[in-house]
Amino acid sequence: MLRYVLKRILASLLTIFFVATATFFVMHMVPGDPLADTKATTPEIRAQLMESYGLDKPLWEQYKIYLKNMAQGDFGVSYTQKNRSVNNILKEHFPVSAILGVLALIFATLGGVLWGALTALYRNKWPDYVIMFFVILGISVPNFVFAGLGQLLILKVNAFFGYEVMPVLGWGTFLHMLMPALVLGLGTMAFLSRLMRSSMLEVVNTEYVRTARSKGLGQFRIFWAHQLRNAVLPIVTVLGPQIAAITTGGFVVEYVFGIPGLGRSFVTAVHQLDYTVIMGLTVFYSAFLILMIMVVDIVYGFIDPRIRVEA
Amino acid sequence: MKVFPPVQENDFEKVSHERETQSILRPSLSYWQDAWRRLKINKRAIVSLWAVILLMAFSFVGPYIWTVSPSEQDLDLTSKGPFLGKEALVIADYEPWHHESERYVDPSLREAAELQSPENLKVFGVPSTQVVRIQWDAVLASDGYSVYRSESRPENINELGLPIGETNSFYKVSYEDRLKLSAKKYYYSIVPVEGFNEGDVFSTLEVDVKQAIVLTEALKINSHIKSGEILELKARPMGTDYLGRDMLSRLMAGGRVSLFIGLLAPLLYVLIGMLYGGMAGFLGGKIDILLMRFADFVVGLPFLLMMILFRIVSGVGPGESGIMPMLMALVLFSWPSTARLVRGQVLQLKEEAYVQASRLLGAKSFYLVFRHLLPNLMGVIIVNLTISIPYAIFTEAFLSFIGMGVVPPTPSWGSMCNEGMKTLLSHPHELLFPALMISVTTLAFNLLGDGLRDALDARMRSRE
Repeated sequence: MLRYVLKRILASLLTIFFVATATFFVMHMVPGDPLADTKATTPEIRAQLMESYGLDKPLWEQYKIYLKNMAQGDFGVSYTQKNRSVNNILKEHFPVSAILGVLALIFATLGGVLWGALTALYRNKWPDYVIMFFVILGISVPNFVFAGLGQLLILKVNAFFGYEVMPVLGWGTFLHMLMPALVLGLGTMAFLSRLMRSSMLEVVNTEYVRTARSKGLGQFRIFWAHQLRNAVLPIVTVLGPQIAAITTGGFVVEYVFGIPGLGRSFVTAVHQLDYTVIMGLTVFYSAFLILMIMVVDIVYGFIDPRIRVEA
Repeated sequence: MKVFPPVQENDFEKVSHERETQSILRPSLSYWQDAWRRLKINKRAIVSLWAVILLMAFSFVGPYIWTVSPSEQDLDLTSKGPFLGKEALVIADYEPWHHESERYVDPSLREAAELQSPENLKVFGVPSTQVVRIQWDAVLASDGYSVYRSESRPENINELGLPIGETNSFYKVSYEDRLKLSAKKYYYSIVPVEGFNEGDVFSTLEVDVKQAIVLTEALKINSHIKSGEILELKARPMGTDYLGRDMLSRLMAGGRVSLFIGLLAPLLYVLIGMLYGGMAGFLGGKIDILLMRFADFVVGLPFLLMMILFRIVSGVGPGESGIMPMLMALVLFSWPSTARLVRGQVLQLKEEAYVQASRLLGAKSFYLVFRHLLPNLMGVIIVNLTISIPYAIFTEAFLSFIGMGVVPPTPSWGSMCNEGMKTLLSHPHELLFPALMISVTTLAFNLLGDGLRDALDARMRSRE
């Protein structure tokens, strides 16, 4: 087990290192000049700015400094926002995205497991058809459409009751988070429901379930202790990639609902061509996602002993 | 009680030895015929197949039938819901107009008078969506007038509606309204103002506004038209967007961009993945390990971030249309999943008895690949291709939505959604139609993929 964990950690760190390197060289190949805007008015100012950002050194030196800073957790200083460090942006905006993401993940997992299990239990009966219809809808409709519809819904509800039941935009209270998190989780929920359905169908008629039934166990106990528990395993494997999907989905939801999260900072930085921020956030996001997938893999190793043997 | 007659010898017939015991009753079906037969009985898949064909026809053939330009703006018809043929009155080009009271009134007389509601409200000329001109008789005590516009008849002074303008003199007794007029009934109310205070009396005039178009614009559509005639405006079956562009032709043009990326990108990366994975699986050994390690590395890259980064690197700034960089990025970062799948299949197939037998009989690698491996891989690859298409369309829509893909003026369904989002609360049709197109397309390809999987998967066959 320890070997497996160590191997996974090493592989993840290596990937992060490659991503950081690729990002660095790729960003330095970009045509264009980060100081091309109004800031560098005279050659002297330009030289000073180049020096303060370390742009006057040879590329190799810059790369070494960049790696050293990254290793110490320093992601650099923004080119466009004066004196603002990427770490500062991270500190301010990441918690918002994290709360939103965790909430969405909870929605998605609970909903996905529940709906998926229900459809399998009522296979080819009307609950199955109704739920699967919505699941297919959830897979086929892009999340920005859900975001728009969600906003419209809140607006109608507010208009119906005549006062603000739920805020349409912004961030702050739990009520602000509810709709964005739901919208963000919908796609994943639909995906997980589908997965859960097929995995549950495999479990429903296994020998041990028949044994449990013949022992006279109640339907609920069979469902809870014998079917659900075994069927839920594949869900855990896909959680890693799904966390990635929720994180990038956050870009859209934060944009539509006006949430000051990291996704919005990233999109803004891309629009302003703020090189250091793009670089810093790309590496941060990548590291975060790679680590998340690693954690899920390791957790899965603990839950399912078969994995460890294979590794 | 029934008595059976005794059995006679000629009740029986001797079976000849020549009877075919081995005859095949049903015609033999090839793999593809069998798959097609299975697909045909799957109603959902067939409906999806038709939907896909219709969508293609809509985007690629549609523009030849519906020839309205997707980029032509008509600022008289912005954000209109769907409508069929509309008629518009052709009116002379705009000329400034004002009307002043010519009646001289002694100031002392005005001092003494009380504010009264204006009389004799009337419309000057034909009220149209281009301009509504109203005039009224001067009110003795007033120093100016406020003009209000409402879409319902005002019952009291609080219901006058939108304040659209005011005049600042006793003599200025006219107003010209050119503010976003639609072809419907409006109620104009005039409130006299004394000093700086609005009076509490008003008069209302009901005006029935006609759809109109100025002569210069009308001549562009029909060069023989004259002022005062009726011009047939083209229908907008899906309404217009915020710049008055025809939604239907934009959806067609957008469909071409979305489907171009959605079809070509998967085609390319499935092909690359097939070659890569096939090579890894077929050659095996150290090369296999090396190739798959690299594939794993590409999988580990956060895909969307890399796509955005790739776009910046290709020198396409925000606000520029980057179809090709997006296509390339999709291909560059999406092939490993197909490669993994194909490699696994090849590893399995390689050990199949018939491949081994063929090898034993002296078949060369080339023959093995094209005679045994590829035909058996085709099913998996086609299914993989079909379910990759909605994914590519989604990615295009997502990137265009955050302004990192196709951007205006090039329409794509994703960028149209982005534009529609801005007017969602007032004109939801601008988001609804492109969103519907994306949803129907992804739904059709998803269901078709499911159907194909059922039809092509050999393992399913034994269950029947």
